[in-house]
Amino acid sequence: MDEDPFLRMSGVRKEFPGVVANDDVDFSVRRGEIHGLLGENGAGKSTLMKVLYGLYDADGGSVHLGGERLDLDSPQDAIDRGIGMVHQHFKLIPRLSVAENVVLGEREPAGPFRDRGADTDTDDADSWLPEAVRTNRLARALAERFTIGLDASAGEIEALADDYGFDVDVRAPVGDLDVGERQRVEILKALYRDVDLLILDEPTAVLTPAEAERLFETLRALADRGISIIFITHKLTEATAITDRVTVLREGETVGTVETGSVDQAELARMMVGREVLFSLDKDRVEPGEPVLEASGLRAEDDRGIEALSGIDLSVRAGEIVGIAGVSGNGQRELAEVLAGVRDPTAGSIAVGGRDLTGEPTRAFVDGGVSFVPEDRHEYGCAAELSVMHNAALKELRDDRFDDGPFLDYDELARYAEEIVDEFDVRGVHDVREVPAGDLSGGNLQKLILGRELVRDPDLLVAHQPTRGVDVGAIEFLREAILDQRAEGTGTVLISEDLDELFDLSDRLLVIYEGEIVHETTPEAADRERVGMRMTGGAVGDGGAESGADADGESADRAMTDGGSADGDGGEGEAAGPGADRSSRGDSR
Amino acid sequence: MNVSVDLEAREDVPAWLAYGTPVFTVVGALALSSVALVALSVDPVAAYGTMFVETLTNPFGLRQTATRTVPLVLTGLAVYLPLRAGLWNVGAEGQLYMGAVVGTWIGLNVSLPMAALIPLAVLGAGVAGGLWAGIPGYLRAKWDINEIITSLLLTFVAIQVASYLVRGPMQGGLGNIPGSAQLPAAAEFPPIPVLDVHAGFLVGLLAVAATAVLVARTRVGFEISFVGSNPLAAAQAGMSTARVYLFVFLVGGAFAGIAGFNEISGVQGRLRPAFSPDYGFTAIPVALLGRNGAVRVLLAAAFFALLFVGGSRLEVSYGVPAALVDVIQALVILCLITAEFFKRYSVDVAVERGSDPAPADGEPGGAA
Repeated sequence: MDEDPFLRMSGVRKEFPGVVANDDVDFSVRRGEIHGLLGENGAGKSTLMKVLYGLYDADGGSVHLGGERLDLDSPQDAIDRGIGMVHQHFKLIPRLSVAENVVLGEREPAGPFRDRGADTDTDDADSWLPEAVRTNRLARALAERFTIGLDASAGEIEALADDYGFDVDVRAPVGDLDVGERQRVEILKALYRDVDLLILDEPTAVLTPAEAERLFETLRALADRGISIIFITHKLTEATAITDRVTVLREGETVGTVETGSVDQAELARMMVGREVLFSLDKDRVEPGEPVLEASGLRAEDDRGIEALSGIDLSVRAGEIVGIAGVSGNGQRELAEVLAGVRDPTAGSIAVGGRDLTGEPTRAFVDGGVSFVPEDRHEYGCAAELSVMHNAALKELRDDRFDDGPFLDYDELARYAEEIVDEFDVRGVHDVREVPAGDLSGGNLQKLILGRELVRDPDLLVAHQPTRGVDVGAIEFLREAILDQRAEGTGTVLISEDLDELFDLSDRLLVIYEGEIVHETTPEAADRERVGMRMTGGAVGDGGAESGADADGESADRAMTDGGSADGDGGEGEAAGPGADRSSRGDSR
Repeated sequence: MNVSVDLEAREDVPAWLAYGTPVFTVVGALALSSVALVALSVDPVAAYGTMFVETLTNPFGLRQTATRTVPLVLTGLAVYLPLRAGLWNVGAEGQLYMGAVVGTWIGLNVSLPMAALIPLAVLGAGVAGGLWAGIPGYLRAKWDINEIITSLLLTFVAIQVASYLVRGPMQGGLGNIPGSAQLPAAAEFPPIPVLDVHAGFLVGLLAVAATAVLVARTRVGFEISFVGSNPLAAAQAGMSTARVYLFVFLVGGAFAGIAGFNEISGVQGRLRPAFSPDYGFTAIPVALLGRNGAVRVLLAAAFFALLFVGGSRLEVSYGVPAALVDVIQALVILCLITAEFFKRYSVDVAVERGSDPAPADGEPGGAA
């Protein structure tokens, strides 16, 4: 253990009925370091941090911060002691401005009551109250209780934001900001409260790669100023990219703390799951067969009625995995939904297995051999309060094997569900009729959903982010299941933001940008840098003209124009991918 | 001294809590209502004795309770079925009136023997109630218009339509008093032998059985549950939420319509304006209390019927206002909502003394 850690948690134990979430966990963080907390879903990371943040009372162990013992009853106590937390789901009020969100909860009295103390030079126009009233303790206490000052601090917040190099318009309503900016507001909230220790709970889960890169920069800057950062993640690439040290938890216990520089990803993965993890999947050659999907000229609108797909041609053959790369929000969701028959295209045609399904209801797609793994497993993938059986049988419900005269054969449904649970290693199900799908962990729920879609031997699988937010062990399983199904002759459209996944699984790789396919390649021939650039609409740097040649003329022109504007405009540059971002940063500094 | 209340979301709902909720709800509501009884200087124990024990131990009280149960269970199912699909049919009262109007009209204007006339009138009432409920169902399915508002507002339309008809085209038999003519004997439910409850009671039981089978044993029932739990996932799997929405409203409304005719044919004999003591609105707490299954809706309906009947007995014996029954009903709803809260969260109340540095629970761990 360290000679003088800033934070030391030792022997922390937290039990829930039937589960020991933290069992004698030791964890320490030095001042000014970025410390990764790595572990599978359910390893106890969140519990440990909730103990630290005062949300849970530990059943045992102690927490010391800056040499003093901490005994927290609530997050307010934690904040008072200089601990800040940025939750995965932001706690912001969209209609209020950035500045208002930052000061919210601070119990600042309204302007006229504020005692400005030293900095009386700041705009004093609204303090029409006599000095005596403002400094009166009773009046102040009342004012703090019953008035709320959201107005005065914009200047102060702006100064703070500038100080840390955040470019956020502090007067803009939070509702107008994108996800990355909102996250910076959350960090700003913590900084405003003078934190020494900042906890980030899977901060990149909601970010695009470019936004994540920007977040990392911010975190490094904070660490340089002596703020300690705990970075919760289950992504190995992030852990190695950003942290100084990593502590790995497994099944509620500390596996160990290592210097990030001294280990590689495979080593970390082994610590996390307790065994060797295959990073290169065995991908057998599968000779592609007949086309199972032929889509041409697809156009579709998003939920707001704005065109999200502008003419997509796509063909997938049996036994082929076609990867679609892109930064989220470039039409992937609409493409997945159109291919699965959930969203009606405004133009174009779709044929599956030679049958034209354009304009048919979703049911015709499902019954016509299309399987769909939606992006959000809770929103679209399952009914959380219904049993595993209900969810497992969802797609095959209309099959006559479940007929029992005029009724539905629930025993057969249960058997069917049990098969999926066994075959796809869905854990935590003791009775398929009793356990609600919502009780499964993310990885197991995703296995159930993928299992439900694959067990019916579909002609076409549309998988949108099939491994997002699940732990390493489950990712490996899910990817192998998709590859196995490929060998069975299923054609797959794999839409993902994870380039590793796309490169590992795809036979062909397409890049989608602003609703169009702008680049086509194969994983073997692909250049990651170029794929990254294409994802962000850039044809930056040397390859401008050359890379335009491999797409069709129109989109190449478009890509180049966009690339040009991205170079010229700092604001656009933010939205660029890792590759483009790195180069533009190089230019500007 | 420091009292802290700890709220924690439950991971699992213990079985005793899941099954016990309706019981606790009812007991809690009665306990709270006893405050009102005490305020009226009535001994709550004696009052509840009169209300429940006496009602349930004499044949007249039982018969009355069973009779009252019929419209409540049918309208309760009319709310319950859409509720399974995640929708609120708060217009069962209006569907009941429409069913009463059409059923009565058939009873008065078609001459057939009883064995044909009553089924025809029940069918007519069901179609009328179903179509009336189908309007909000269709609007919701097709254009996503809030079914709570449309079904509620259509209730007032239905009540006014019935009110107009019994003062105009359908008035008869009573001189100037609004009301239809007396139904012919062939259109009145005969009493069931031994039980001496009108045969509409059987219709109610049949409806419960049909609903139970529909929800728990058929594909349609599976789809209703799935749509009710997550309409987006259901749509993604090729279920038509629009069809499910329309279906539950049509069938639910049909039950409510039948309830209307049952009440006229089995109890009142002629259609009068405002003949229903808000059966269709009481149906909402009935469905909430019984939302886990059609048989529970029946039990909840019987309980509310008992409140009605026992309440009027209470009124006679102790001179307490009839509104007390409304109070008890309202408290049942409040307790139900409260019970939901306790089902979702566990509450720990800890009292600890102020300046004790050692943690109250677990090992002190102050070794450092």
